[in-house]
Amino acid sequence: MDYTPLFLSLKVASIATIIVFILGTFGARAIAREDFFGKSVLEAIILLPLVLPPTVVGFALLYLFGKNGIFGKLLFESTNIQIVFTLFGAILAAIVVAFPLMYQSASAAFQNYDKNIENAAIIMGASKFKVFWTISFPLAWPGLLAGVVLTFARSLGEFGATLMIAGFIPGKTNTIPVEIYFAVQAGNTSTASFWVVILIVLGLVANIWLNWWSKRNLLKYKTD
Amino acid sequence: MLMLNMKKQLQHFTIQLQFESKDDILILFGPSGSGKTTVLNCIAGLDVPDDGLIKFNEQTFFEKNRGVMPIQKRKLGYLFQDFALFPHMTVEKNITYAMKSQSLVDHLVQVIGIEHLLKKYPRQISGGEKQRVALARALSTEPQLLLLDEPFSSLDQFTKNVCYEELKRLHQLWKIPIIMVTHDYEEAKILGNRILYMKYGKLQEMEYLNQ
Repeated sequence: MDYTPLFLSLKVASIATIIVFILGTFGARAIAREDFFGKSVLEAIILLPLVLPPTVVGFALLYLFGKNGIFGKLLFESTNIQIVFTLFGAILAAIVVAFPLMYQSASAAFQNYDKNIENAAIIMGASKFKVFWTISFPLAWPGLLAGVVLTFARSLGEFGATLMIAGFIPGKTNTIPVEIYFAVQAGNTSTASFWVVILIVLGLVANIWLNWWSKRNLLKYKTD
Repeated sequence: MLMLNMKKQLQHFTIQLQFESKDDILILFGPSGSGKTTVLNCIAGLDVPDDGLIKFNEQTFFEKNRGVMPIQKRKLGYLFQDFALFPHMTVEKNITYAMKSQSLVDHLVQVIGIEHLLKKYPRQISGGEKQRVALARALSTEPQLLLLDEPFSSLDQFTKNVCYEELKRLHQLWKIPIIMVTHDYEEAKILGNRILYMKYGKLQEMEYLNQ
C-alpha cells in the first residue's frame, strides 16, 4: 500500500491549520469586538466560502491564481512559485475553505468573556500586547482550540476546490479525498474503502480528543 | 484634585455634569440608567465624552480637540460591579499582574486580610472575598484615584457592612480621592463625604455629609 496520500493530506492540513489559526485568531480579535462601518459586509465576505460549493471556490482560485490570473502571474514572475497543479494549490484551497470555520470559532471565543476583564488589565497599565497574550488569548483558548480541530478536519477532507486547483497528480497532489474519488472511478473499491476508514478514524480521534480536553479543562476558564 | 466638566450624548438623554473631587469619597447616586457608570468610564478612558474637560491634578485626561490620554497612563484603580477578576489566574497572580512593588502587594494582602486566598482561583472564593481581592488588585498599582462601580451590589448585608468598614479604613490609610457609583442610599450615606444626585445625566443636588 502506498501511503503518500496520507502524508500529503497531513502535510496540507497541518500547514493550512497553522496559517488559518494565525490569520483567524488575529483577524477575529481585530474585528469581532469592534463596531465599524462595513463590518457586516466584511464578515459576509469572510464567511462566503462556507455557503458556496467548493467547486465555485476552486474556480475562483483558479481564476485568481492560474498562470494568467492576477495573483498567479504576480507570484510566478516574482518568486517562480506556481500554485496550480502543485501542493501549494491544495494548501491554498484548504486555507480558503477552512478559514470561515476558524474565524467563526475565534469570533465567538473572543466575545464569550466579560470585556471588563480586559479593561481591568488595561486600566492597571498593561499594554495591548500584554493584554492579548495574558488575558484575551488564554480566555479564548477553548474556542480557538475547537476552531483548530474543525480547521484541521475540514482541511483534511477538502475535495472540490482542491481537485480544481491542484488536480490529481499521483505523488504530488493526490490527497486522501481525491485519492478516494479516483479509486472509485477506477473501480478500486478496496483502496477507496481503506482511505475512507482512515479519514473516519482521524475525524473521530480529533472529535473525541477535543471533547475529552474540554471536559477536563473548561472549568478553569469559567468567568463566574 | 479631579475636575470634571463633561457632555456626552446617550441614546435617550445627554449627560451634562460638572464637579470637583479632592481626597474625599464622592458618591454618584441615582437610579439605574442615569449615566453614572458612563461618567466613571469617561474618567477611566473606557468611554470618551463628546465635549468638555476632565483633568486630574496636572494631567489632562480629556479635552475636546486636544485628544485623549491613553488609559494605561491615567494611574487609576477601577473596581467593576462584577469585579472582573482574571478567571484563569490565581488570586496571587491577579494581584501581582501589574504591581508596582512586591512589598506594597504584601502590605495590601495583609491589610485586606486575603493571605489565605492567594493560591485559590476566583471561582473558588465567595462574593465578599472576590470584592476584597478586586480591591487589593486595584490598589496594587498605587492608583492616584479610585473608581468604584457598585462594588457591593452583589453582596449580602453582613458582607456589605464588613466591606464598608474596610473601604473607610483603606481610605483613611491611602488618602486618595474615591468616586463611587451606587443606587443604594444607605450605602451612600455610610461611605460618602458628598453625595451627588444624578438623574438623566444631570446634577440634581449635592449633599454634604459630616464624616
